[in-house]
Amino acid sequence: MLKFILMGSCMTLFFSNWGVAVTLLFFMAFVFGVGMSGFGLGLVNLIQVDLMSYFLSYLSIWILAMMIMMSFYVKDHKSFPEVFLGLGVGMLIFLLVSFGTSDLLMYYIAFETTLIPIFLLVMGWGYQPERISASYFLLFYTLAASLPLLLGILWVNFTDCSLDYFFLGQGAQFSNPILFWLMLLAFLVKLPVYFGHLWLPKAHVEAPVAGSMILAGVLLKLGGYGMVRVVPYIELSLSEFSSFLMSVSLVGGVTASVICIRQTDCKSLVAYSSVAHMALVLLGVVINSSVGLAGVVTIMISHGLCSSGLFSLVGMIYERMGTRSIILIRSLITLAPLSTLWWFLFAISNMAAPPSPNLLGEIYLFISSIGWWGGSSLLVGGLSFMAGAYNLFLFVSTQHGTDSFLSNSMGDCSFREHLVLFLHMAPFILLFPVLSHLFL
Amino acid sequence: MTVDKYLYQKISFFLINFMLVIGFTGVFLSLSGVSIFIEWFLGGSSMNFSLIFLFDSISCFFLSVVLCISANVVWYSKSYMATDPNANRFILLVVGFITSMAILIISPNILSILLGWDGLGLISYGLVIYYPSSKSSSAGMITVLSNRVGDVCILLSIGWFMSVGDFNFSIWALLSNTDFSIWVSFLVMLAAMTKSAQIPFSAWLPAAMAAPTPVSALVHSSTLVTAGVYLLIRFSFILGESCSAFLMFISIMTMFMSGVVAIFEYDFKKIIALSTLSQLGMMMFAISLGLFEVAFFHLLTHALFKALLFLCAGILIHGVGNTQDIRSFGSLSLNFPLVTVCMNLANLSLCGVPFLAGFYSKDLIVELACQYSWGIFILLMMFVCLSLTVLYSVRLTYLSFVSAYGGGSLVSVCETDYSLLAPVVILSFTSLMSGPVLSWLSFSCPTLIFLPTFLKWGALFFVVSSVVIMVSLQRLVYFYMWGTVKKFSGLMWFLPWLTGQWLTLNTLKNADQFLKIYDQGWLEFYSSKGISMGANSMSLFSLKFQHNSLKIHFLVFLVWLFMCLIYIL
Repeated sequence: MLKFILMGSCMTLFFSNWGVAVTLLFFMAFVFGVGMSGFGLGLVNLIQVDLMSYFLSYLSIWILAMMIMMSFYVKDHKSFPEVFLGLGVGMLIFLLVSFGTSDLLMYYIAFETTLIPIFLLVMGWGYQPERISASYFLLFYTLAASLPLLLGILWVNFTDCSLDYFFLGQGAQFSNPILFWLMLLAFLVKLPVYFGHLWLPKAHVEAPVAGSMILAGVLLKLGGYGMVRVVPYIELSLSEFSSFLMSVSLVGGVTASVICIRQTDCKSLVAYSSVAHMALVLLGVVINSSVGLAGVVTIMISHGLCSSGLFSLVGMIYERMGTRSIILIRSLITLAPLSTLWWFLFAISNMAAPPSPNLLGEIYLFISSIGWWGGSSLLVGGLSFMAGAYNLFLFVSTQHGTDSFLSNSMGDCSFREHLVLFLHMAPFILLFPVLSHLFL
Repeated sequence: MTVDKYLYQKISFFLINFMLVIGFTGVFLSLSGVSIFIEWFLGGSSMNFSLIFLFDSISCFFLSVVLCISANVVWYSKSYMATDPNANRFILLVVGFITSMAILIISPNILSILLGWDGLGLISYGLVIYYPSSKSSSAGMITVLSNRVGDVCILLSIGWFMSVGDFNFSIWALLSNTDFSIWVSFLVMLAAMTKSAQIPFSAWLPAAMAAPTPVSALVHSSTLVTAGVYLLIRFSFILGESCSAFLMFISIMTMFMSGVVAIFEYDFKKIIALSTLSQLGMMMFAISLGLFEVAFFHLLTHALFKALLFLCAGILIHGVGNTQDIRSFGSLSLNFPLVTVCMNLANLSLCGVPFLAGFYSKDLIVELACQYSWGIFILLMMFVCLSLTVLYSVRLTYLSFVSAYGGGSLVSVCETDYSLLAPVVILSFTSLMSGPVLSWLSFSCPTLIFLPTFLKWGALFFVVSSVVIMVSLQRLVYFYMWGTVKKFSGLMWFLPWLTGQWLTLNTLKNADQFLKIYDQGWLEFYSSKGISMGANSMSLFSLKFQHNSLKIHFLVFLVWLFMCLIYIL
């Protein structure tokens, strides 16, 4: 695992040459895929990798490669491409540290450190003047919720004398509700749960394509991953607050999906759909069953790929038409028919159609939430139905319709863009049998 | 223009061959009573993940009928879609649709049923929004969202499958008397109701006629809408009493509503869509009585002659210049003799005229239903719906073939395109033969019907009297005097408004409230704006100490002195 972090740091030599950078990232992904023999829950110097963190680190390398491939306009417009690439690689290094570490404090440090590159990305390369307040929102929401996490970690260190994941849950079990909320609040806001989600649409709308891709693709999963790591320690008070968290996630998910339909900005729509999907993740974590956990991992991986793909598609439209408004973008099926297939595949994957792993994760989470309370079937069913509604609304508004007089010159996807979308879709479909074996 | 000149013919030929193979397999399986169960075990310790294909006589017959209809529809669409620039997309969608239907038919595993079911819903959505008009896009939206309700129901029922440990539907044969099987049966019935467009989900079927006519022939007459009926036939052992009673009520209402609305409808394809809806109601009615094999038989015969009806409708619509309003049809029997013959065959078959296909299936349902003791209202409604079927079919025939021509003058009303006519002729042969042939194959011995005379004559009496009534009503000029009834039925008993526009309007209004009042209102107030305003006011307060005012200095000194005094004392 350390070798990848070293590889990432050595890529600092290649910041001016983007082609080499992308190639090296794919090489890194390849080695990551084949060279991780015998990883296990080791205690070797703060590094450990298990299946969930392996998937998530692979996802972060992959999404970073995609993100760089989508952002070639930064290089063309010469708006500080070396700094851009440096921020991306720095983010990758700290993401690998956060997913690969076995120490809770190290995880916290890496978690906070990944905020800096995304803050700079949104503020530096965003499109509108509102990006300043949006990046502040992003930073302060997450910081305000995660400083209590530091207190909680120090408390755990004081009582348990170790912060390694291996010891969490083995030592003294804490049933203190204050500790519960201290540990969980940061991850809830990062995830984001419904009441703490206000930073997400703003950050996504103002972020550049690359920023959105990495934010939706990996950074939200930091919240889910942290929750899964911390829950063994606070299990006793989980049962006390589980009904509250479950109702917030269920009703919040349905509310977020319902809000999606009224969005006029494509990116904002996809951002709210992230809120709805992550509500399902919270559901699975709180129920704390093995089906739920399988659903959590599956949805995190598949949502990362699917959401990142949707943001790439919206980014392609923005590059060509200069707008993200659903009202203005119309009839792409006649202007760019090859992209319509990609839009359709990503839209139906986002709404959990077979054979996407989104369906698998939703099935697992339906099973666990119905097992917890039968009436939750209405709410998760409503969430799934509204997911169909807003995804197809996005698809039909952008693709369908008679010719729009606003498009003067609109080219179809270039080879690079087809490659980006294909590299999102192919692992997505190929991971379906792999992820179905998470719970057997 | 397609890449390969013979693409449609090749696809059609492949489908016909596949149909012959499956058809003979089906005959063999039904005569020998054997089912073939192919399973690939994919691992799993607590759950049994396996990919299973089930070939028994029901699935083989259904698959062969679907393949027969699709072969003919593909051949038909070679010339129907010849001038369309997006014909490549069309044929890919149609082939994807046939694949999804095949997956649905041959799978006994709820996961692969879901694969086929979702595929059907989404591909039919892609086909309904094929033309770039706003009517297509709204039709597509209501189609896919109604189907999505069914998808969600099946997803929820997968939760129940998980709780018993196996994903095959036959597991429920062992568990049909447990107290939680009511949930699975209710969910499956709801899913079937959405797919087969029963009330309250009926609004999508007439709206989906915005699709091209070959799509209507394949999708909305025989395959997509019968997927719901097929699912209920597969889950037959779990439908308990309460579900059957509910289903009977819904199916009779659907039959009645669609029959009444079809009498007042002026769009040609919508009339045929409503007749499909009423026959689906008849199939659901048979299922609710427990007559699963008879419902399946009616499904097969109905698929064949309904597809035939749609194909003939397509030829007629092309002929009168692409208008679908029957007021511009009329006297077309003079120009389309072959199409008239086939369409009459289909219509008479639909009405249940003796010894045509519909007589074998529909009349069997009616006579078996008369033997049950569900009450006189049910019987009466069934006969009324029978006569409504005849009424709208005769009206359709009269207004398109007999009455005076009402359309424009610059049209090309002729039938010279063999690629359009050959499928029609083939389907009319199959629908002529399918009645007796399928009844000999499906039912090894004839059922004993034991009815009093007036019930036995009932069906025939209603058919004949309805023909007489409608022909005489068409001769009268002022038939349509019932303004309120006409408005009510013309708006399809307000179902499209209720389940489409009203529901959407209220959902969007509520969503707007959630967005503007909660998300951009109170949540922002309490979180970000609240904190920033709080911090602002606190720092403004502390600014007051920094004005260098002598009064504040003296006050602070006095307070400090006071506190020191308290501390000393």
